[in-house]
Amino acid sequence: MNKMKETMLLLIVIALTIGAAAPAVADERPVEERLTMLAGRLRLGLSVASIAIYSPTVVDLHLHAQQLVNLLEGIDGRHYVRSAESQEDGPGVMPEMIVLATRFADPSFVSEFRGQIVAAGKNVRVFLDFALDAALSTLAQRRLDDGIREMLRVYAYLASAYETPCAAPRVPALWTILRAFGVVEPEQAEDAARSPVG
Amino acid sequence: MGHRSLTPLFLPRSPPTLAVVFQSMSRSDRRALAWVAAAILVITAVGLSFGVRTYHMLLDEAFRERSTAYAQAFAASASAWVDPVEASMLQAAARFLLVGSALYVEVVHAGETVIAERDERIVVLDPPPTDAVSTITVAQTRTPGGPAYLDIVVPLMSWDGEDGYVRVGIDRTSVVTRSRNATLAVVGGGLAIDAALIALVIWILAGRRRSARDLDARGPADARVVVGDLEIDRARKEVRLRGASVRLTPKQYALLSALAQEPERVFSERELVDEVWTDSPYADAKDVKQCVYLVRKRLAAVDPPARGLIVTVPGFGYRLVVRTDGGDDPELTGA
Repeated sequence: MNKMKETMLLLIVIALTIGAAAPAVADERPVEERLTMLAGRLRLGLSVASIAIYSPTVVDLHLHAQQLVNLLEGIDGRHYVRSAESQEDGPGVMPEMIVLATRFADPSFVSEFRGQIVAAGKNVRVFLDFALDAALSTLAQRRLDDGIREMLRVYAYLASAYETPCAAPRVPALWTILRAFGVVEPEQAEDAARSPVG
Repeated sequence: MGHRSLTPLFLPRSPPTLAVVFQSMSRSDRRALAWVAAAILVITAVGLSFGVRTYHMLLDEAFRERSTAYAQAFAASASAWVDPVEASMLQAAARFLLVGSALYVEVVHAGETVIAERDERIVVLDPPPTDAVSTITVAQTRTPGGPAYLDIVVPLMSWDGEDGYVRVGIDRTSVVTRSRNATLAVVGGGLAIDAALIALVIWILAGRRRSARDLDARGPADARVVVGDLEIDRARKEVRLRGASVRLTPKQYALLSALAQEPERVFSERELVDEVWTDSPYADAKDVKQCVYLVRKRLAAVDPPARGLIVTVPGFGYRLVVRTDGGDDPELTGA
């Protein structure tokens, strides 16, 4: 009887060891591939945030906010809600960034820009944390205008996380006003063509 | 035994209900109430109709504006991602939209449909416009058996300068439901306010009558009514007949005082009930008759011919005749 128990215990330990080792196996994709995917998902998040700001109803705004939470946290996230998922839901941006930051910090990672990359990775993580907080705060708002304020924060943090203007719509702000008054140079105006009020 | 004998005498009386107050109102007051109520209802109906229509219009307009901006924001995404390399991003953004109020999303670029995502609720989608779209168009429409929606077409400003458009259908169900709920709430609230106003008017009218009577009963310090030989001192609550005091109970005093308001006018029993028995919704003609009898008796105790000062007008009511000392009034002997 005791032998049977020992065997069962051994089997459980083996199963747990294999389970714990499994994610490590899945992490073996190249950094470049991971970065490209992360950037694409961040751009998608920026696009959703920029559209969500114009949500016709508070229900739409909440759905978009939940989509952003899902996008940021991924399917294993604490706040992931299946009802708001789309067919594009994959690994979260934040867990991906954590994996990348870990790799950057690893002594085996060699690059002449290593210091900058590590610092930039930390910044991205902080901006993503802020964006997640703002998205969760959007979900708590009951009035459309209040929700939109929070969604603008999400957009701002995601844009900061991306750092440079990307192929995603921009939310009109000062640049739009400058263009309306003709203050910007013609070559600069071309750069603003993606503004929704363009 | 009459109705009143069945009323328990020693039970505490609850405050009169609105129905009881209404029952005790005079005909003229009821007529006034009917007019006021009709006016209140008409004003409410007109106000509600205007208010609801305006609210609905504003709500609809705001929803249309927001939906158009929503479609424009997506078009801005589409213009950035219409490049075949970015097609998956555009597809993803379109699907994100479809989880919410968007019923369908179409992106047409250079004559080719790049994206055509559709909610299953939309059974039949109208064919897309064939001409090049140069301005934003918004149309309110409904599919057979499906939801009402806004069909928004936004020109596509793509990176390569090719013509195209983005077409988004936004479900109007939420705005329709919100408008209907608001209408029901406002109409319900309006009717409740009307009912309260009408109740208030009833109380005001009843209160006005009570105040008038109280004021009349109190009277100014020098208020004295003289009707022939009869003198009523409202300040002292005294009645004198040819200078002699007539002892009356408060009800008897109130009856005589009421008749003395307009000598020679016939007061109906109903009017006298309203005037004298303000605190009793169950008083009727029998009370008036009995009270008149007792007043006549008290007057006759002072001056026997004065019994005829209150004349019964059969079928109509009672009136107080003017008799001066030494005057001849044939009615006084015949009453």
